[in-house]
Amino acid sequence: MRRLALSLAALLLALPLAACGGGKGKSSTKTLTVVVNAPFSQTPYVGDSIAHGVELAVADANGRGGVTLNGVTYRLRVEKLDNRLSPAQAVRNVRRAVREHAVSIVDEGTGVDASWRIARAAGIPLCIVYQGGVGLVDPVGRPNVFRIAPTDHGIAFRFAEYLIPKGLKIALLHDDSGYGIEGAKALDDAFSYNPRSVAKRLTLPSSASDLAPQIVQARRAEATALLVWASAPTLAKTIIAARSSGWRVPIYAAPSAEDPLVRQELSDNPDWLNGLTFGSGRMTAEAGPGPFLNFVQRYENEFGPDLVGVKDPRGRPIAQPPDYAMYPFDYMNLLVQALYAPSSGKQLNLVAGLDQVTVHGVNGDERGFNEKNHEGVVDDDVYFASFHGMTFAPVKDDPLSATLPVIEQRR
Amino acid sequence: MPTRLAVAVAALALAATASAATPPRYVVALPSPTSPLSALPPLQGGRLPIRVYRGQLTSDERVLVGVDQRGTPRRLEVEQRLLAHGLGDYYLVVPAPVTDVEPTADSESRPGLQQSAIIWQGFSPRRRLLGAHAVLDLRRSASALPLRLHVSTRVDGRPVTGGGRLDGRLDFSLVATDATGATFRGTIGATNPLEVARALDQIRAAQLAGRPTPAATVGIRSHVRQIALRVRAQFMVSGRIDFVGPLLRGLKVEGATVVNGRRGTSLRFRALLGIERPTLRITAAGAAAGVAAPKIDLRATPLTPAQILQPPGASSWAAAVHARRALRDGEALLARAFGLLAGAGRTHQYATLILSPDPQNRATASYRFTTVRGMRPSVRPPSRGGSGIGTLGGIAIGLAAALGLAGLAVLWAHS
Repeated sequence: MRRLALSLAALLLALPLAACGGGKGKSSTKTLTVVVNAPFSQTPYVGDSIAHGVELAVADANGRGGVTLNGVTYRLRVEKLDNRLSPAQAVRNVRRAVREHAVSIVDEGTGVDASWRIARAAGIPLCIVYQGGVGLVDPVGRPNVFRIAPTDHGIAFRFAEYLIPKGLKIALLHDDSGYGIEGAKALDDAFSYNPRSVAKRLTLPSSASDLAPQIVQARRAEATALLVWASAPTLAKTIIAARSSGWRVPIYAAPSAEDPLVRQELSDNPDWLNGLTFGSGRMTAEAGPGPFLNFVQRYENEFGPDLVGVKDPRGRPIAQPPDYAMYPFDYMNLLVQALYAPSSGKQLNLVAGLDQVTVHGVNGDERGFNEKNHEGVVDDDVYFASFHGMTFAPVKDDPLSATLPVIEQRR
Repeated sequence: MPTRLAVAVAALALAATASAATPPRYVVALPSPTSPLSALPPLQGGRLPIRVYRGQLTSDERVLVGVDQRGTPRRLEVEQRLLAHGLGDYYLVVPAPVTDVEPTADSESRPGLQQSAIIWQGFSPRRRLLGAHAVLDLRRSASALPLRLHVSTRVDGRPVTGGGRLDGRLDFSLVATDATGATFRGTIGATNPLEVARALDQIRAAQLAGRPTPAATVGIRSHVRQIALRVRAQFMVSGRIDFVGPLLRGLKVEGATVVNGRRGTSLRFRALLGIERPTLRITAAGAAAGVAAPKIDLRATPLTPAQILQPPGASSWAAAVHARRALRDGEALLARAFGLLAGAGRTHQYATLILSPDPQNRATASYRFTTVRGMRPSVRPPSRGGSGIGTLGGIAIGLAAALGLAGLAVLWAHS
């Protein structure tokens, strides 16, 4: 049946090469448009990180002379469309990408439950590079959807693996955003094998200005740790509510903890951030920090450092490592490889081609998809880091994290 | 006492011969008992293997061959379990003619699939089991299997192939033929048998201890000559043939033992297949009522190099040379050593039907041939062309493969 699905996908998604570009017919150089569908206005850190990663890879490809297929040279072009964190807007953006014959869509993840079909009908691969929701990616059901970002499933199971042996009674908190709801599903699944580790499950209203009532509930449930899966503003409010009440409970969090907004919100009480531990995709592999640091240097040369807006205890400004830019960068390199993958006649089948390519990723590890898995970040890539003095470093009490170097964040 | 004296005298004589010998005219190297003799196995996937992992990997494979009622392979699956020993990242590309892959129930990671390769990527926290249940492309894989089965079940001369039951005179035969033959070419000449024996003992000791095989050489004190040896892999083969239903009484059986049970009559067998006995033949004949096609379950396990290098009737080859006059012809013993070592190398190839990413490390395998319920012999052999399968053909093949895979899994689980 798997073969059948692939055969149908190949038939449906075969993309005429001539239709890929938006260029003028008689020119020997055409363009291939890549659409970035991301929340540029609502969470600029996420939107800009994604766009910068794509732009950097596109600059590399164009710097090498573009992509030459069947004697025609194509230059890559990036088009940024703001999804405003609205599924409806995200779908409109994907329709526009189809109208403009985009060769691929690099997507933050909002609205993908609806937009993937539109992209599929046009034979366009869509790669999610931020959201980790469990149901978003399915190589059989959604063959044109790929993802390079830590999955909620991976982060939740790694948290269970990391926290349960500590003997903690954990309050699982999530907000009512799509991000929080998807995270809660993954946490429920991961902790279902050890229900006695869970002291309480609570939903945090994103619109609430004060989360003290929820924190009191968690405390009354005799929780000895909080695991918070919420958007950056809600996470910051949760930390403030706990610490301002004098509760020094250990707090663990989803990748949103590294969003600069959390540190900005806590800049008046930097000590409250100390010890906050989050799970995310590792920036380095066994090869060492070299590949990622080279990427940081190129990124900062091009766009400048992503300054968080806070300083360390000695007054030095802090920059956010461009970890969420490396995912779209890696995807673009895979896409370029897939463009060169063997195809039948003049038909390009990028969706099938992406299953067969692998590149050296920014973190020094191999990055790629395959016929069974459209996830470019495996669960084993999830590491844990904790904050001290407004910077974060890998923890030492997890086998994977303990092997990772500290990435310098002071500028 | 006389025997001990004789052995002691012989030992002294051999030692004297060795010490007084002139320097050898030639030195020949003995082959490693883990060196392959041919390209297959392991199966090639058409791309290069990749191993990015600092630790060690051991491999264990369970090869499952679904055969029809004539013994022809109809489906081929491999469970490959790689055990990672050591802390660190891993990225492995295992080339194989694989069409589908799923994790085994005990796997601690999920395998990926690219064209003709199984992909592994992750982090080993000192120990990690990577288990892949792979379905192989039969047309590209069947030739690498170590055994060929030929099964015939007839009642009154009519073949029994379907699910129906027949009455009359039963004539059953199972012929399992070792298909691993290969040719090894070596150089021999007059030599000291103790020198050969000691080399064999060193190699065997290394194998038993799990150490790398030492380079072993033997001096030749005469003219040399080339020999071509036919070698085969050695397998311990065992299994059962079940005639489910009424008991078959008064059967004349060769090559197996008859066991009558509540569910019917079984023929049990066990034999060592290899260079000395390349074919196992089991026959059963007699009057029968209500006979259906039997279920065959045959397991073949390759011997280890240490088992193949077991000295005859002694704790070491050196002791055997002292004890047995027949081994004191140095040239003959050298030829025998070549045959044993090359045969061990050929056998070791079958420890990995699909490649182990760490070929220098320990690898084991077992092969299981089972008749698959409902799998009748094909009327026409499958085309070797491979192209031109339409969508509907793809659907039919895909459905058949899915159903067959489930059938084999069920059969295996219940056996």
